[in-house]
Amino acid sequence: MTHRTQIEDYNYSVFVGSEEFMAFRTLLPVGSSAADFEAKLLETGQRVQFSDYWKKGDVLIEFGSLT
Amino acid sequence: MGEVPPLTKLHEKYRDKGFAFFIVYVREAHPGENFPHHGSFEQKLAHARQLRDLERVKIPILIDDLKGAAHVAYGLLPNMIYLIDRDRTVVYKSDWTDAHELEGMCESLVRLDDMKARQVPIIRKGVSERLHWIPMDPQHRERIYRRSGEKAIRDYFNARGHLPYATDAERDKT
Repeated sequence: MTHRTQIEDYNYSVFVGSEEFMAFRTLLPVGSSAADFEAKLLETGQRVQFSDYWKKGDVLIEFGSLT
Repeated sequence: MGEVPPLTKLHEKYRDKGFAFFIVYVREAHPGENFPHHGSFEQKLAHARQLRDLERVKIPILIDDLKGAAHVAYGLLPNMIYLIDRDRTVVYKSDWTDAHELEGMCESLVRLDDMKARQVPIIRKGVSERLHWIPMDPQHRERIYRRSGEKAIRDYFNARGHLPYATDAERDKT
């Protein structure tokens, strides 16, 4: 799959309701090690590493968007 | 996304108790005329800014990359939530934000710190699994979908056969 196709598949333009609840239930179960990722912090525009936060304390993340 | 105010209240209560809260901005779950799917990172960034401004979000926002690397790694649901402790362990996860349950989890970690400080022996780490019922505010849901546009409502109806803000009783009628 090309980089462009991956982006288009992920960012679907039409909601079809194919949420994979089983994937959520099996990925990263309670007791497992959290996945690290890189992201941009909106406040500062800086690229940050998520692991930098859990090294400092407990971290709560909620996933979401405008819609 | 879920309602921001309950999470904001928890953020204010626990940020001085060793917790960091973040919203991870991911793909548009219900793209519409006003907020379509992301075609560029700049667009995703602009939508995140609008979320912050429209909902007066005080919790720091992390923007996932355009391929959704973080979103994929954590399970792809639109409003899932995770609590990770300072040893990198996932101590709680939920497919939807339930502020009441979350508060109990935060208290549990505060209690753990206290037990460690007082050198209270701990028998074991317990694991529990449960179903929980989260109340829905139909007006809040309708507001979110209307903000995205009629297309978002139409797409949801086509996928699920009922309006996204239908109550249980209304769904049973369809």
